[in-house]
Amino acid sequence: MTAPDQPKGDEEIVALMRAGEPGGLELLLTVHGGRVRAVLGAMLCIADDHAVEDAVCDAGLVMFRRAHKLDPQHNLGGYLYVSARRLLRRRLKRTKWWHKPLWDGAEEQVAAPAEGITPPAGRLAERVRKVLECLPTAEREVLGIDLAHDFRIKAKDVARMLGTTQKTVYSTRNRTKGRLQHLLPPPS
Amino acid sequence: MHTPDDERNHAEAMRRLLADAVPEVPIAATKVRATAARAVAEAAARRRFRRLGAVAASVAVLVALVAGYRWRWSGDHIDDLSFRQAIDITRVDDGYEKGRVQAAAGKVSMDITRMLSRLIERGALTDELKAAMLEALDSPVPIAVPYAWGVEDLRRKLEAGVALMPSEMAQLKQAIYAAVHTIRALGERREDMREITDSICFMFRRYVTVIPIEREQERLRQKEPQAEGGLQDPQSVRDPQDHEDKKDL
Repeated sequence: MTAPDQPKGDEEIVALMRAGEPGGLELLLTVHGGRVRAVLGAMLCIADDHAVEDAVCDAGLVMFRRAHKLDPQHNLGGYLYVSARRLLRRRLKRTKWWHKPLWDGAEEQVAAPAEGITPPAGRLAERVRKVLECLPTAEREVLGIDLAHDFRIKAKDVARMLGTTQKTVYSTRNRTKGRLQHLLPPPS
Repeated sequence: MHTPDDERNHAEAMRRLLADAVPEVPIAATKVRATAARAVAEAAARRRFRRLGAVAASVAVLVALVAGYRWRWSGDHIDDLSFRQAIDITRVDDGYEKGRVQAAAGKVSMDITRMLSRLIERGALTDELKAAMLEALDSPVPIAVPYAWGVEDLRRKLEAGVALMPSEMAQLKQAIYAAVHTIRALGERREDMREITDSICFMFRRYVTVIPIEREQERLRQKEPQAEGGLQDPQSVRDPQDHEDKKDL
């Protein structure tokens, strides 16, 4: 999704899918599926990994069916993420797994690192994951979409997807950035 | 102070941070292949469904065409026929025998005259309708007039004594045009029907010219004896002077 030769790959995938070639779908799931699956699992905090995998595959099928509507210039990974997220939420609601988080306290939970000390990579990743788990649902939703679109999506589009306003998206992004700020390495 | 470069670097750092924290988890190759197989099967099913749908639609159209083609008026009851169907039968004989075409023409004229009678009784026959009738009767050649549905509704309304809206009057005018032109065309097309169609046209003309006056006079004539004590044969009423004469004798 973040590779520099992505547009070319996406164009090829869309062309194959439009031609009705199942190879296009395989390529889509191979190139973007892994990333989307990881983001979806992390952002929706779902323990059932198979459900996420199934949702991504089903989203791929939906995209294959509507290949004529896809724009190869846009981010295919983002499309796949949004479709998979929608499918997964619908499925979870149907099976009544979906519930709102009862506790929200990311700021208190995450301690700021000591001055001038950069934690090792493995540990840093662990801490970031913890912060992500503790993020409020709205922030996780916005961050997930941003992540899936490689931080190239406009706030206006995110707002449209989530049914909220552009200003809300801006402020949500800033809050998330604030929560993750102290985990970033100090600027050189 | 933050510069755009700082912002970009910050976003890049965030991206790296999150990319490390959320590592890619590839989807199992077997699952990818199974999904592709499902896509192929679905596409085949969709194609099959589309083909079946097309076949079903064409069969339905065929059945409708056959049903439409095979529908023919039995000729037993004039009430089975709507005004529109009567117009159609009158316009193109369509293999109907003379008696049935004649009956259809009769139905057309009956519907129109019934409605005109109602309007005349109520004094609602407008000059516009009269002019339309006369124009249709006197035009040099009968012309095909596009005809709209709804004469049955109009007739029902008139029989119930409901006043017609301007749009309904326009509809009635169109029906009059269609009826007169169709009957005139029938007369010109079939020599053996000329006498009947001429008499229908004559009747139409009388309805918009003579009939109202005659009917009014007739109504008044009927009203006078009723006011004196019921209908009586004028011949049976004796002159009182005659009675006196007999007495003298």
